[in-house]
Amino acid sequence: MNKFLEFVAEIFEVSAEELSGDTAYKSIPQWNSLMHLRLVAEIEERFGAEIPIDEVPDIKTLADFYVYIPEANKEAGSYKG
Amino acid sequence: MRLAILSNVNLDMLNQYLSKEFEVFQAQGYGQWIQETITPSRELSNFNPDVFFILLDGYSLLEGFDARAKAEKELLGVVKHINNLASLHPTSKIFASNIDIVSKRITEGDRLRIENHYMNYWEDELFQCMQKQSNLHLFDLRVLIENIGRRNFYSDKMWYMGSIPYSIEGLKSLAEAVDHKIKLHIMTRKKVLVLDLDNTLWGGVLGEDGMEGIEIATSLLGAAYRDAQLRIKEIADTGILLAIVSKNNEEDVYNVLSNHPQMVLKRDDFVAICANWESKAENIVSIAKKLNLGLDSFVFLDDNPVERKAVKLGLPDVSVIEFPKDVSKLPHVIQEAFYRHFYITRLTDEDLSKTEQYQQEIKRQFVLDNSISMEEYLSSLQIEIVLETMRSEQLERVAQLTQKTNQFNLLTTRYSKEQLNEYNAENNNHIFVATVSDRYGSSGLVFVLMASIDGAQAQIDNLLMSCRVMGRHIEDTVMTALEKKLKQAGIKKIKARFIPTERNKPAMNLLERMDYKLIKKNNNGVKDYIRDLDDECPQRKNINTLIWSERDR
Repeated sequence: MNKFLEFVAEIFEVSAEELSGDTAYKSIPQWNSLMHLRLVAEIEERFGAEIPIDEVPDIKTLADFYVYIPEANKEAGSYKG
Repeated sequence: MRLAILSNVNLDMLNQYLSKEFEVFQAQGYGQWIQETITPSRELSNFNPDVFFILLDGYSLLEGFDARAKAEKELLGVVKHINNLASLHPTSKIFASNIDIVSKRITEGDRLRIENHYMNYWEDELFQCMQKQSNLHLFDLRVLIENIGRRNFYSDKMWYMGSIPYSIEGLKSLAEAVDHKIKLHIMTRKKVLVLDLDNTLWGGVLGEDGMEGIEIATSLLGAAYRDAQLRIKEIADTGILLAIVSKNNEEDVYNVLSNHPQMVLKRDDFVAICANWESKAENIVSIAKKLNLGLDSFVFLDDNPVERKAVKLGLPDVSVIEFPKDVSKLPHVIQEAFYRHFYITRLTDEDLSKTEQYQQEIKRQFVLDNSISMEEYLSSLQIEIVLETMRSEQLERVAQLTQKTNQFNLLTTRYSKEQLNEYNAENNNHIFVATVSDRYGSSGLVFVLMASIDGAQAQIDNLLMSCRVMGRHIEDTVMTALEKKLKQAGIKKIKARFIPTERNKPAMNLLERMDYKLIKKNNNGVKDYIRDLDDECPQRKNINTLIWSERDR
C-alpha cells in the first residue's frame, strides 16, 4: 500500500503522509473529476491493473483503487517502471 | 509566457501538464473553440495569449460527415475559423495542428481509405492559409502520432470515460511537443556549422587512405557518411553557412571536394575551407573575423573528442555537437542538431541567398587585400542604396534583423513580426529600410531605422544595420537622405539614444560621427543625444549613390 500511496502522491503533488486508504474523492482539492480519470489511466498503466469503465463511478477512496491492483504487484517494487 | 490551447476535444489534462511551465488559459468547455475564433470571449481577450495551439482531433471533427463534398466543406470552414483567429490576434503566434483521422469503420478490404485524402486536404488548405498569415504556423501532430503509434497515442477508455481521445502517454508526449515547439520559437538561430573531415564527413583518414580509400558510398557504412552529408546540405539550404576546419593537406581536400563522385558537399557549399595544421580554435576565430560574426553563431562537429574538448575550453561561446560513438547514428544526430541550433519555421529570400552573399563578401575582402586605399576600394564597389518606407512583404526580414543584429545596433530593441506590425500601425511611427547592392551582387535589406514623430520633433526608436555591409559608409548616406526627408516634412530636431551592450561597439560612436549633440550621459553608459537639423555635419562621408524607391519619392 505504501508504494501505491507514494505513486498517487506523486500525481497529486502532495507528500505521501497526507494520504491513506481512506482518502476520498473530492476530500482534497487535487482529486477532482479530471484527476479521477487520470488516476484510472495511470494506475492501469503503472500497475497493469484493469478497471472496468462501469465500475469507475463506484470508486470513492484510494483503498477502492487498491483492490484492482493484481496481487503480484502489491508487493513493494515489483510493478513495472 | 501565456498559452491558450483550443481544441474540439477535452484537453484539460494537457492544460494541467503544461501549467507547470506556462500560464495556461482555462477554456470554458472544449466545444467553445470555434466560438472563440468568431467572437473571442472577454476571458480570452483579457488573458491575451502569447501563443495559441489549435489541436484538432480528426476523427471527432469529421464524425458523421459521410459524403466527401460535405466533409471537405466542413474542413474548409474550420480552416477559415483558424484564419479568422490569426487575424483577430495579430500579435500572437498561432500553431495549428494537422489532423490524424483514425478509420474505425468496418469495411471490405479493398475499399479506398478516404481518411487519407481528408488528412492531406486539410494540410493543403492550412498551408495556403499560412501563406496569408505570417503569425500562423504548423504544429505537426501527425508526425508525433506516427512516432508513438496510434495504438499507444489513442485510448478508447479515456474517450468513453471523459471525451478525451488520447492516452496518458499520448497526452504526455503532446505536452512535451508543445513545450518543445514554444522553446524553439524563442531561441536564437546559429549561423555557421563548422565541420571536420576525416571520420566526420567521410570514413577513414584522407592523408593515409587517399581519395580512393576513404569511405563514402550509397550503401553500407559509407552511406552513413553520405546520408550525414545530405542532412548537412539540407541544413545549408535553410541559409546556414558551412565551413571546413580540418587537419589535412589543402590540395588533397580540394581534390576530394571537386572530384570524388560520392561527395554530396562540394567546394561551393563552403564559405571557408581551412585545411591546415593550426589549432581548430584559431581557425574558427579567423573564419569568424572574416565573416564578421560572433563566435556564439558557430556550431562545431568533429569526431575527435580531444578536438571537441579543445574548442569547448578555448572558445566557450561555440556550441559543440556530441558526436555519436556509433556512426550509424550520425545522420540522426545531425537532424537533431538542426532542431537544436538552426531551427526556422519559414525561410525568407534573404536566408536562401545568404551563402552566396557571404561568398561575395570573401571575394570583396580579396579585392580589399589588393587595392591601394579604402576610398578607392569603396568606390570600386559601385555601391547603390535604395531607401524606402517598409513594405508589408519586408516585415519578416525586418523583424529578423531586429532580432539578430548585435553589432551595429544603437538600442538593441528586438521586435517580433507581430510587435513590428503593432508599431507600424501607429500613425506617427515610421519604419525606413535600405537595400544595398554593389558590382558583386545584392546584399539585400540591411538597414532599418524606426522613428516616431511628435510635432516638430522626431525620435529614433531603433537603428541597426547588418554587419555584412559595415565599414562602407552606408549609414552616412542613408542618415543624410532620411534627415533631409524629415526636414521637408517640418521636423526641426531629432532625439536619439545609445544603449551599450557587450556586442555593439561598432555603433558606439555612430551618433557623434553623425554630429548628434550629447546632452546626457547616464551612469550605466546610456547616452542621450539631440540633433538640430539646421546644423552642419562635416564628418559624414556621403560617398555612395542613394535613390528613394518609386513610392516614397
